[in-house]
Amino acid sequence: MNLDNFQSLSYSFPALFLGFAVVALFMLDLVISRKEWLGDIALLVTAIVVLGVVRLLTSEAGTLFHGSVALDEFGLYFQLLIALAAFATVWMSIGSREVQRTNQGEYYAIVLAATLGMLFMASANNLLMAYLALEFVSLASYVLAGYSRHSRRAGEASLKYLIYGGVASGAMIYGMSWIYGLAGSLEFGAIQQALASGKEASLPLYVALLLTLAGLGYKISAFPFHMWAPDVYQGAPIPVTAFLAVGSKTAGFALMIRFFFTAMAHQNGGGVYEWVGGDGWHQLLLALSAVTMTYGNLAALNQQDNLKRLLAYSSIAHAGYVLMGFVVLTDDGLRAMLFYLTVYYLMNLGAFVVVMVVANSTGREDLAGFRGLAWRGGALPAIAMAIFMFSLTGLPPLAGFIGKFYLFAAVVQQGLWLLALIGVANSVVSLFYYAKIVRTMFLDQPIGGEGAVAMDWHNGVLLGLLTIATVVLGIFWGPLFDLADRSARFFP
Amino acid sequence: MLESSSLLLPCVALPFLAAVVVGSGSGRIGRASGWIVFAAALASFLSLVPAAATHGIDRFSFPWLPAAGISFALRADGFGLLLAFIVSGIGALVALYSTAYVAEADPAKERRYYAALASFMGAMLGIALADDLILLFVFWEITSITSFLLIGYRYEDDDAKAGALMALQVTALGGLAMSVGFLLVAQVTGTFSISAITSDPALIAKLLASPLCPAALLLVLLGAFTKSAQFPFHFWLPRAMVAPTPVSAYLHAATMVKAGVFLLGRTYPMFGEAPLWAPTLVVVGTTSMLLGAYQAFREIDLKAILARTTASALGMITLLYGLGATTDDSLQILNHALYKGALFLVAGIVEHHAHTRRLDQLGGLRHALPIAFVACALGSLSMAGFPPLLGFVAKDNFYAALLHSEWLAGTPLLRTVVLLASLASSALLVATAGKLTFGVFSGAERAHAHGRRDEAHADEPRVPLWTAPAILAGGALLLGLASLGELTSDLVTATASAPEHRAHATLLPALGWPLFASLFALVLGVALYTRRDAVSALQKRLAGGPAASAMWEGAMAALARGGEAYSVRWQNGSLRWYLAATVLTLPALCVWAFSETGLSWRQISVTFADTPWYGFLFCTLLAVATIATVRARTRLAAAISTTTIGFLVAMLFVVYRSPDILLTQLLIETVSSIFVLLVLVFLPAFPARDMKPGTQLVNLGIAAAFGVTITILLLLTMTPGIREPSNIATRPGGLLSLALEQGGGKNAVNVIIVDIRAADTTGEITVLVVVGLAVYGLLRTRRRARQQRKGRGTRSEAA
Repeated sequence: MNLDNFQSLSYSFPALFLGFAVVALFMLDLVISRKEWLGDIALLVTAIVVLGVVRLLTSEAGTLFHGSVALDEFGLYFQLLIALAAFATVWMSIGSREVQRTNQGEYYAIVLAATLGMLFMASANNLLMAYLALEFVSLASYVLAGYSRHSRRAGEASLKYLIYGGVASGAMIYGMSWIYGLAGSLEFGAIQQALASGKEASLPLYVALLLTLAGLGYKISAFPFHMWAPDVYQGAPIPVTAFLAVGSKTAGFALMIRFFFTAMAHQNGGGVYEWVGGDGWHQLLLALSAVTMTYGNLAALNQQDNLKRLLAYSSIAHAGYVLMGFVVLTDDGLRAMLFYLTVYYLMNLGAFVVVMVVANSTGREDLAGFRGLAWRGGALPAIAMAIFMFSLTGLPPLAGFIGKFYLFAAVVQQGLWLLALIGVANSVVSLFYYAKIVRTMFLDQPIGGEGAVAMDWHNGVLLGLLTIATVVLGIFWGPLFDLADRSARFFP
Repeated sequence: MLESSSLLLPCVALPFLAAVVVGSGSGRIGRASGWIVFAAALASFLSLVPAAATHGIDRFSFPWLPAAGISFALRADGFGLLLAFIVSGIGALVALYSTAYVAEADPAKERRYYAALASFMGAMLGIALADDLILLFVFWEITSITSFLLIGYRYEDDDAKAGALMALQVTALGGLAMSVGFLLVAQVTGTFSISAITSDPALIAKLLASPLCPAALLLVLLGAFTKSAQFPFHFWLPRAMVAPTPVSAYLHAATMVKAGVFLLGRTYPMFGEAPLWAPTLVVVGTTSMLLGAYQAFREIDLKAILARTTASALGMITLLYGLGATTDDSLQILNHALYKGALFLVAGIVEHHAHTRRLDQLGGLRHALPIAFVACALGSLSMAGFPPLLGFVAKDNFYAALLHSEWLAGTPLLRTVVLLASLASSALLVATAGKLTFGVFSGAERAHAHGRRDEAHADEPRVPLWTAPAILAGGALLLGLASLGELTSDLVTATASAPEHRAHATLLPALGWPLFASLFALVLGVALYTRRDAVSALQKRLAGGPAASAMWEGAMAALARGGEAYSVRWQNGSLRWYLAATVLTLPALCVWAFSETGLSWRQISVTFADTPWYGFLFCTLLAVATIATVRARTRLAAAISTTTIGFLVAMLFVVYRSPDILLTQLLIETVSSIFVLLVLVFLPAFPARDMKPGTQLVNLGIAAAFGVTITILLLLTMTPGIREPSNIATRPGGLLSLALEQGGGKNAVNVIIVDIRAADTTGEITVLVVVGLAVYGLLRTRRRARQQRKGRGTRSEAA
């Protein structure tokens, strides 16, 4: 079903509601005197958005707004993930000391605005829509990154993010204009058809895709477009960092996957896709995946000053892992990516919640601030963090292991066992720094001056949910996998 | 799916349940936690009995993830049952021993210990009984994590932390490699079920013929070698001796390190015929065996000695698997579990009593610890291979396997080397066993021990402490004696991994080379023991060279340093550097695109004949304006030249005859330049910074690289014949044709703007209005700011 603008509105409830809520929140900020209510309102909004996306899950696949937005299982899966990420981010923000010190009305409005952009990134079916959504997210993120207004580091982070993002998205829009010139259409499906009929391996196409890749790679922080990530992650308030690491990255993957799978490849039958216009892409993406994960893990090895920075490198590495599922260009890889991104959402967000709990109590974000965490009031956060760290490493019986298992399986299935080996070697390297955190929390003695850590029920509930999900999905992951399996298809 | 009312699931689940009870239990459980774990282990042990008693093979299975073909499958064949009995039986003894050994002031810490111990036991039982490769891997990694917690139990101690981390790193590395090996196996065979693969010759043949086979084999072996502390991963085991002694006895003698050789036994039916199998295992096994025995003799710390001998014994088993001796592998595994468990537990008693583990500070404890002395003597005798202990039977079988091996017979040189190494390590183990027993228990009680005497005698070894080693050592003796009859042979045959024929395990072997070899080794060992000081002196002289554990730590440190240097150099916080890296990557990738498409700049042929002269003019001015922007020294100049660029770009649309875009662009440029100029007021002065000429040159180079590449690409694209861009406007269904067909107007641009793209135009107008509003807001703010400043000025003047 392909709907026009007015028909589409009834299928766009989450986005419309979110857009309305952004404006409403700005307005409410002017009239409400109890600012802490704004967070609760934003939480309610994200909860409604989650429900709205869930309600759409059963609708017939098609396109909205004259083909510029896709309404399909793939997009909705990602929209659900993004809405959940927004929900968790707002939840975290309510419990964050950093956010409480700022102008909350604007903050929540901008978080919701970024969410709106991400929803469109997940379902954009058209280059223009994709670019607008991406820029929308970026602009909101620049502001959020610098939200701690009186912190020099936050200002620096924001500015770097802005300039770097500007260059990347500039390259991307340039590349997109080339694609438009080559294919004569902005719509993904039409681009694929136009390219399939043309000569193969054309130089302009390669260049156009390379330039587009710069913008997409920047959003998912893949090498060599990752350089903004550590500085920005470190400078931004913790909930924002979590949102960037989880929501923004997920949305970036959604767009990248949809663009490459529907515009640059066609399904070959038997769950295998094939590039249109040359298969040199295969090697490039393979190299991208391998280098991204290796870089992220090596750089994370000796990070001690700031755990957000460490998690930034680790999130770069995880982008590399997810890209493994991309390289193989099969349905197996596709659902492995969907599955992994969900698992990644749980464990990475959980890690950030723990960092925030510690920072709330002690104001510290360095590794030394975690010394003996388990023995100074933070036993539950420490246990949760250990679970997240082992899950991020990919050790069973945790969700991260299942996620990696599917990725490796997809890679091995295509005979790329060298890549699988690189992935395993990277998991081993990552164990070193993840285990170091666990060791610091449990085996190091707290020394004087490292205050007690207390977790309030608000953060405790979120942490508990994420921890339980990480463990349960490690043992009983069938339903999620089925959902990912069902969602690993595009319209048409 | 449930094939019998099997007790296998409760057997594996019980210890985990106990772990949960103990770990989450409140203070009320307190000191009882050890007994709870003991009871769970005992229950697991007993629940295995029906499985052992049935004639068939007991299994339990339910689909875990049918889509991927993974099931939670347990299967109790003889080999698995052997390990499971060892795990639960020794587990019960160790829990019992721990109730007396681990007495902490903090009951919470004690509870954690037992919780980790119980989970470890459950995971080990899982490894023993798993019939699914993924399930096996899951349990495998659980043992890695729980052993990390157990080794690091005394976390006040830096060595404990380092040892625990190293053990985790090494074993998890192997485990992850193994998981990929399993994936490859499943990829080839299409199933994760171990018994399905091993029972189907066609599948095995398929696996062996596959090009993935060597990779899969080596990856699986990596898992086995790291877990069993085989060369070159032997170094983590001695470092793990910082664990509490019952943990060492349990993990590092009886069970966890056995998982490695157990895996060899499990995968032998799959890979045994692979050409890489025998050479790899024989070389690694022989090296580990000799190295372990040599190093064991050199150590003076009781537990370090035992750790080294463990690596040596496991090396021997690895060697046997290399030779395909799967008929009596259970004998070796059982023998080692019994005597080494006993020796470790004795070491714990000795340390408890004398507060030291160093041989040079120990001696004469036979009166104080008579039962420990007997247990130690029996254990040592079995280790050395003296009759009538089980160790003698095992050693005899080992030499029989070695001398009768057809594979070795085909390589005489290797055969000689292996034989000599075996004799040497057997002899060294004999000498070490002597050193151990006599060093601790005979002679006069040392001064150091005396110093602590009062304290030591206060806690006379309690019943739970000596029961466990006594039972284990007694087992080694009884099974040795039982081999006079048929009992031991029956047991060994029933529990061998791949019994091809009946095993011979007897105290009275036939006269022949194997017997001579093992007797010769005994004599040689006794001789070495009598000359132990000379041997030690020789070893001291030979000492030196890099220690493997130091090398590992060095490598880890180098990796960390490398990572740091890497991150510091790349991620140095300089935005200029970030952008340079990114901007340079793009041309580099474009060069890759050149090579992919087989094009080069030489193919460019473009004429600019139909470009009007003002086109060139605009472009030239554009370049000038761009340079002016970069070189501007004030914000105002920069803003103005940026605006100029914008207007000039707009003018380019004159060249392309698109007045609508031109108009939009001009409007946007105008409003945004006002915007920029207004914002400038709020900014501090431009920091006037002169770049060094070198920096400027580098910048120029980067810019040029990017610019030149993109220019070449553009020119190539425009070259006829490379790729014709589709003419979007005029193709059927394009906007130009639509204008006439649907809009009914011949002025296509007008129709497009107000009709076809009406919504877009509305959007553009809205944007302009919003920007205009923002400008208005800024203007007002500025006016207010000026008024305030004025007001403040007058106030201060008045003051």
